[in-house]
Amino acid sequence: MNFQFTKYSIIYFIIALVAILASITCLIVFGLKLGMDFEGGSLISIQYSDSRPEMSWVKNAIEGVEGFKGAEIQPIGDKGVVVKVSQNDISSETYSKILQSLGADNNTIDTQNSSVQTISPLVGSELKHKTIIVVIVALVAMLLYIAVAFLNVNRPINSFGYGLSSTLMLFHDIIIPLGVLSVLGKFYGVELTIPVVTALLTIVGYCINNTVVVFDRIRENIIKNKSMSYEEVVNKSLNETFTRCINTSIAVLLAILPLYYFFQGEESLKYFTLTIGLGVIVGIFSSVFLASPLLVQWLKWKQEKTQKSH
Amino acid sequence: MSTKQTLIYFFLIIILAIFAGTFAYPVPYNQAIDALNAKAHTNLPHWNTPDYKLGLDLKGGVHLEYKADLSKISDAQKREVMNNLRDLIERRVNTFGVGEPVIQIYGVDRLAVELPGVESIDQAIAWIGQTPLLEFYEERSEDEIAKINAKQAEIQDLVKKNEGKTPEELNQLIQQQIPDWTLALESPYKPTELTGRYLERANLEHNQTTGEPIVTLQFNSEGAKIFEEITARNEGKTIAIYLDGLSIIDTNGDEKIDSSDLYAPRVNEKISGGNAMITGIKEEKEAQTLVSRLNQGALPVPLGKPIVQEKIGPTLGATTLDNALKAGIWSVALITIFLILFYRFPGLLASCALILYIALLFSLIKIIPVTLTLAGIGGLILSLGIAVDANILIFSRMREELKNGRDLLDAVHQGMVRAWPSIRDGHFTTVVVAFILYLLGTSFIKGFAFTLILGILLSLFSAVVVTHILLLTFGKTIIGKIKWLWS
Repeated sequence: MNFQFTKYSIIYFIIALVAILASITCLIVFGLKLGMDFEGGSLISIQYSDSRPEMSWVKNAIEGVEGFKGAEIQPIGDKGVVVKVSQNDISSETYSKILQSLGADNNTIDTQNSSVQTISPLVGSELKHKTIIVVIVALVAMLLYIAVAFLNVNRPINSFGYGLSSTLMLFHDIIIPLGVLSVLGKFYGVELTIPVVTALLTIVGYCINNTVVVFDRIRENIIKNKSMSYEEVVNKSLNETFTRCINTSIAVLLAILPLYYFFQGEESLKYFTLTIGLGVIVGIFSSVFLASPLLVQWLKWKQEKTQKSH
Repeated sequence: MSTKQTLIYFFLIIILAIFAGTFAYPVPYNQAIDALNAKAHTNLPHWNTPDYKLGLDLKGGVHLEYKADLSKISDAQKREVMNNLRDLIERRVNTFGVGEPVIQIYGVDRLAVELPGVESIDQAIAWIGQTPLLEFYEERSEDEIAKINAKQAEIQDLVKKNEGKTPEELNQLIQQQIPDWTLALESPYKPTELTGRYLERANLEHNQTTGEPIVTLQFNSEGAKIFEEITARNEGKTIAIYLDGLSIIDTNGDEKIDSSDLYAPRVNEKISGGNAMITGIKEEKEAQTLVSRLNQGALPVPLGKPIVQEKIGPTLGATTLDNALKAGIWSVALITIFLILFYRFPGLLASCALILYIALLFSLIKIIPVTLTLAGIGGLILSLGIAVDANILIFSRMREELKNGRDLLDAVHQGMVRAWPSIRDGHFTTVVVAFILYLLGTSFIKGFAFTLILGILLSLFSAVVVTHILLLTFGKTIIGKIKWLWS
């Protein structure tokens, strides 16, 4: 395989920039729908034994219970309904009232499979704070690690450049799934929960892994092919690692696909796998088409600048 | 590596595989042993391995999280107060007979309580949320004790006479035939007005010469007066200490506290000034527990309402576990098919290595033991995808070397050596992120990060050692001559 990855790099950069800008716009316009983990509230999950009644019937039934006017209702799986309210105190009395009114008209509820969960908003504010720290620490750690691991390849681009490029890629890999999540949140009620945040952070680790493999090959090829230009080395390295990048990503996608399939009725894992899937796909693009071509462009730009000044 | 060495390693791997496989899932092995025992009349033992520990989300139960109000506690004491609180909750939960409760302190002022098998959240909250009550009881008068003993003897007689009857019938008989039968249930101790609110602090000290632990109690001025009166009228007698209506510590060594336990130190003389000392404690641990529990009563820290409460039904947990297993099996199957289609024979070997990897991973989960949660299983399944990454790196390299005209064994070696830096850096970065997640995360994230780290480290072994040995072993056989199998 001999594909000139750097030849059209401007086009890839434009695609990436458009995607990032679109994601940021979505984030600003739609915002993120924060889940109960962050906002606090209660989640009541009801499973019907036979079949789920019409959602409009469920809505009527739930609004009949005191304090549940305007509660958010979603169908889950074939027989399930999830009710979300912002109040974070559901007594068992209220719970049994809900079971009663949702179980009226010959609709039997499988109480063994139904559950309640409540979280106070206090937990959420702390979690936001912690999540931001985790993201910053992870990004800085990555930058430092790559800068150190590539110390012996200071030519033609110093090791810091590799670190910076991969950190930029991480930004790309996280902001785009976030943008998609904000759209999904607006139209399909997908929420940002702890599992989703965990998925985003896993993407950080995973995408760095892909980028590092390409950088490693560049490092090796620089030493092996002293006569080649940097651009040629980058192209050679990308061609050599391309199949591996795709195959590894396929393996991860294959691993999480059944997880998504079997947990469609379970919000935490469903959105977790969805986010990982998004991240893996975005990550292929950034590690192959952006990370190293960016370094090539940067070098070109630096060389032009020094030529001008001479 | 010489052929002999390769073969030795190969057989070691086979043994490891059998060992880990049967350890992780002993059922088929035990069935085979049963069949063999029945047929050949042997008496071979079963492979008894520990059970997997399942988290609440897979087992069902109640999960509660509390924020303790530490506003009135000095920084230096916070840790101790939290430890005391955990002990308090543990004690309460144990009294109510919840199996395998998990009570953890996290952060500065947080407590997470997991109660498997408990159905009602309200009941659990009521159990845990009460303010601890520390009470000091004095002996009843000899008269009263004699009456209680007489009543108990009377009941015992009646029971003896009616041997063979059911407990219900006996109860009925007692209620009919013995007047004031409830007296027999009375403890020989009666409450005094002294409670935890008069106790300022308890401390653990040691006898300077013998090193024996001494528990000192310090009452406030009001408490000092009451204590003086109580000790004055009970000189030579004992004073029982109760927490939440039961003995403060386990005294009969059965590791649970019930009505058969009684902790009652003897009053040697009247104590004035509000400083008392309990001596004669044999074990350091007992003294520590005693101090901690006295302080629970002296410095009650309100827990308030839980900030997180969650109830998972038992069958919901079982369904989740079932789905997780199905998802795992499908993941392995899909990855195996992919590897074989794309990498042919090496892909098949990598799939074998992957299965060994799974057996080892589950053995480790049993040994450590790791509590499996849904998040943890998510981490495990994701680690499957990452585990094959190292194999893919090696195979890709191997193919390149084969294309360059190297012979097979050389290509295996080169593929290994050249892929190593990428494997190392790639895995290391993923582990770093997982580690940061583990350090800073909440319980969901922790469960995920831990299994992910475990999985990644083990996958290194699986790819770098196991796949390598398998490649070398089969590369030397006749299969190694069939070129199309390898690239």
